Amino acid sequence: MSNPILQLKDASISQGDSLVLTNVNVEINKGEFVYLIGKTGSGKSSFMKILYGDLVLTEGEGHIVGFNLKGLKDKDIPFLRRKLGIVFQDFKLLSDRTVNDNLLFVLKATGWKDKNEMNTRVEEVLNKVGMKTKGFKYPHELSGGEQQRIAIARALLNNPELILADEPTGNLDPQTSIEVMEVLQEINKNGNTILMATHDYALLLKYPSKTLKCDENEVFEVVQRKV
Amino acid sequence: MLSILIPTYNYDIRSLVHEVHRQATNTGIDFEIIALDDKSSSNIISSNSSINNLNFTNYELSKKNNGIAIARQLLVNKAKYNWVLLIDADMKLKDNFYISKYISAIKQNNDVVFGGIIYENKPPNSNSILRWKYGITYESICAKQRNKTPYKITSAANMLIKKAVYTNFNLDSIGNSYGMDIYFGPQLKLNKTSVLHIDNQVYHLGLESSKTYLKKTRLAVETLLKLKYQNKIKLHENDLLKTFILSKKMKFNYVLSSFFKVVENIITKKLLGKNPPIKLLQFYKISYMCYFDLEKKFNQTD
Repeated sequence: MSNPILQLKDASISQGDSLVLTNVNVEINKGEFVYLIGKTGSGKSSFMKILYGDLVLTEGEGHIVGFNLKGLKDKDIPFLRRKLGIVFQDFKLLSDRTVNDNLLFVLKATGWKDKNEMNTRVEEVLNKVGMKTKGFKYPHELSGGEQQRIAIARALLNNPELILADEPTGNLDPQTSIEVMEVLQEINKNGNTILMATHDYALLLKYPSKTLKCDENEVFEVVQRKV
Repeated sequence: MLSILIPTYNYDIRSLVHEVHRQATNTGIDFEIIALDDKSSSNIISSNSSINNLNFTNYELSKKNNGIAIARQLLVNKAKYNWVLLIDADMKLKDNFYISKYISAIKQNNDVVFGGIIYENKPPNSNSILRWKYGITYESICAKQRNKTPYKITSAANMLIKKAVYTNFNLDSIGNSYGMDIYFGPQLKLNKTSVLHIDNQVYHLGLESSKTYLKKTRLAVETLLKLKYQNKIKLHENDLLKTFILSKKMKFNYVLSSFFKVVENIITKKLLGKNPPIKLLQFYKISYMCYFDLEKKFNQTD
């Protein structure tokens, strides 16, 4: 049985006075890995923005991780965001502290108190991204791909129900992009739901999965042909 | 976690917003940035609008020019998170750890955290020298010093505060920004608000011309008197007000007022010059305060 974590039905999305996307019908189920593709200016960023409450749903229905996007109140947005793990293209870490301390910084800021529990959680997420032995390194001692893995680990800290990855490989060379994709695929296999916006069509061919495309103010699912 | 709020008027905020956004993203915390434009010119609005492309960032437009005190209040009302970081548009971050220092300060359980203001070492052109000299002498103070008298230097231009605490003070009821800063410290003291000063300074870049600054200084003095006689400043650490009260007690205010009438033009010329002595500005303030107080018959009850 399907278990939608994100559902948009006949939805319209505006930015300011201009309508960016219309008639959007999208469903993402728990455990899926979904790509979001589209040219610059096609509404991809607006689509992502509506998912974390930066833009308002003007028409239609929308539900994400248990929140109703229609009429979402400002005071609910912090709680919505707590259920999302977000990975950006500009993924840098705090350069004045180690990987462990970067992750502990987020845990402390999000209300964790118990030191043992925090250390255990840090170890768990580093393990998930294959960086268990790198906790004592400073960001400058890591490669770009390794830093992005840590950024992914950071997004996993509070057990998000959905990971939104906005061009996570956008600044990386092809080989490092593959390295990061492997990590995302592994996390997905372990049950995390991922929506990844990307320009990198080579990744889609190498790791085929459900794909949504933004084009001419609409979002539709595209069927990948096997080469 | 954190709402970063930037009131702006006719200022290019793109580099400030991009830097704040970069730093906030690097911390991995939940945040939002809201910049509220207080009715700038259309070309400024057009270029600043590009910040809308950043995640968690919104550039909003006021329908009319409200002044900074109301703009700050509107921003705080819009904030989605419990902690708000107010930073003025004409500031520049000093280092890479501006946001992370504030996040660390949140954990220390105070209601308000002031980062402080500094000025660039290189003097600006002579047109703005008075503001720069005042800033570098009286505002560029390290946290250790500021914490000795925590309610004395309380600039909302770079301040982290609990949303609920800010809303409590109705700071928008005070018209101009200088008035707001004068009012804010005593309010914090009166309410026994826990205040922490840290070394997380930002550079103040948007220096007014000496002429404008002197005009604003007079307005600030008038606001201070008004607040005093409205009994809105009960507890304070304001040196100017302390000196004024002492002068009145000693009846020295008559001398200062008369002196102001005679030498105002000479002092003004000196203050608007290329090398204004900053102590003279302090003298100008106290003597103007005595003059305004007596001439305008402001005080009927004191």
